[in-house]
Amino acid sequence: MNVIETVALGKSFDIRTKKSVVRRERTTVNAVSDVNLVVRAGEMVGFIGPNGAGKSTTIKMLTGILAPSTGDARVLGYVPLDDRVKLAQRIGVVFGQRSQLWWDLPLGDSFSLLRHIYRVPVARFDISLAWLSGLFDLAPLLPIPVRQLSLGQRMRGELAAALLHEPELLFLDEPTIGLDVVSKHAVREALTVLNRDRGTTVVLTTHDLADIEQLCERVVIIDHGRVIDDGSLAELLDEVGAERTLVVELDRVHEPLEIAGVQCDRVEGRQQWLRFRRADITAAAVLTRVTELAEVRDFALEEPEIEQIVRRIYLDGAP
Amino acid sequence: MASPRPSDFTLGGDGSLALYRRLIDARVRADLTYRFSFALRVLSAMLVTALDYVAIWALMSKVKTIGGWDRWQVTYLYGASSVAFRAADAFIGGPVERCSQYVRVGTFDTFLVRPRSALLQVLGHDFALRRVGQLAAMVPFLVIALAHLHIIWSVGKVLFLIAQLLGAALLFSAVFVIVSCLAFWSPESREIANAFTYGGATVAEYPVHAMASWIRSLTFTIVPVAFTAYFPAFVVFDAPNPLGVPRWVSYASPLACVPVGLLAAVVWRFAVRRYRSTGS
Repeated sequence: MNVIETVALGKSFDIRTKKSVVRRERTTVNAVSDVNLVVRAGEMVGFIGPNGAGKSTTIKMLTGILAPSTGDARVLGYVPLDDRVKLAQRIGVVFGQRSQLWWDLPLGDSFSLLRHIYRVPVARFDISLAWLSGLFDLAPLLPIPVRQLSLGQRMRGELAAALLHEPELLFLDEPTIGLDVVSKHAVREALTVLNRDRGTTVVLTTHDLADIEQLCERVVIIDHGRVIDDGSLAELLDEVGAERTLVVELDRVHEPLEIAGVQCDRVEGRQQWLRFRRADITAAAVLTRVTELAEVRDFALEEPEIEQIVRRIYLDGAP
Repeated sequence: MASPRPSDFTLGGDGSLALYRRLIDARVRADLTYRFSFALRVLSAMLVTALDYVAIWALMSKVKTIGGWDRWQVTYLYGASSVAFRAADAFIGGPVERCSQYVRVGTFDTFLVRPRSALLQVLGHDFALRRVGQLAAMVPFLVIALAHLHIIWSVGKVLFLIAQLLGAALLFSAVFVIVSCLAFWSPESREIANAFTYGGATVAEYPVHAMASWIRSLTFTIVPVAFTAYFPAFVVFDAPNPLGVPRWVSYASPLACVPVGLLAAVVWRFAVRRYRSTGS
């Protein structure tokens, strides 16, 4: 079953600039154009692209906030703009930058208010909340006012708030923005379980490639309002020949290490930056070679930035 | 969390009223978490509101009458229009004024992705108890003025007074909704909106027949505050209108909220539709 179907979906805005006190110039900006997208039930899809690429505008059209200028969208069989209320009952939405919780009240109060907003029967609510409390480890947070929660705790609360009414489809706009490593991990773990155990379809936007790597078997790249690529992350990275960098800290200062398929970019004291292509060699293999040549004290893997990948796709003239 | 009853969703047909009550309750509880600052805010809000009257008192000590109305008649006009305005401000005006902020920071989007009326959520989201305090501060002025006015009371007059206050509150509410919708065009429109709401309420405190004719025409048309307390006052006082406006206009004044209310509903729908086509 297709959860989302769009045909030539587009959105343009009229921007007025003041030329003088009386004269104004109108220019039309295409925020999103010609998006054809099919998302099947149970998929986890990541939208990536630079700021202002049209990711959020696309999500706003799919959730019924914004009216499309051109084309059609169907979400769970509804036309989002016309059936906003019916659709809202069956989807969950989290905007990473804004809260839907009641700031001064205990987290648990927000949940019970949302129960009334979504008209969830008490019995269903109790089961749902118990499951979500386990998933996001919320039990100790329920009596705490939202304003006193850390960003990571609050994001877990936001996600649970969007899931209380058991939506079939979850939209997440930058769900890991600003979170520390531990919180990011917790959020990703929970989303994986949600998708696996409940079959919830998830559409998310992110700037963090690790989100995509750990969550999404499919990635849609949007730039300048257009879908410029749609496929699996591995395919995509192979396609553009994206390079990762293993930063290693050795026991002492070494000459630049020589490993087949690996380029040593930089040496700084005991640290070395080793760049390699995903298609040529795995990170684990690189690390094994390094330990054969020197003693490793510490290491970190740096992924390419999304902006860099998008730029690459453009340069390569990919579809 | 209190365990809710199964009857929770029956009140108010589709449960809108019940939800409204819960949203207000949540806001009041949130306000009360800062008890001292809350008490201070309520007290200062009441004081500032009541201080408005000092200007009228000072004026009446100098001139004795305005347009032939004595101190208690003017006080009545102040009390009746202020009670209605503060009621509108507490339940509709204060919350809808926040729309400009909701549009700016994106809260309005979170309202739109919930399966409920956006207006209901706006009204419930920022209900401020301190505004009810301001309403309470106005009631004594109305009561004291009525006691001094030597009114011949009848059941009809009492009912009319209630209808008038209700109609005036609804009219002010409708004006609040209409001008708050400006926020969907320009988030910086607060000042213009204030001119119509708070400005209109100030004009409503004085007898219209004593005003310059151009202001007078405004109070009959664009900012129709003459229908809130001024026209109805002639029924309450049982006196002829010095402008020669027939008595039936005074009797019909509480109904002025109907056309203005309908206009507010149309403007709100239009504004939300526009927001959804242009974004913030």
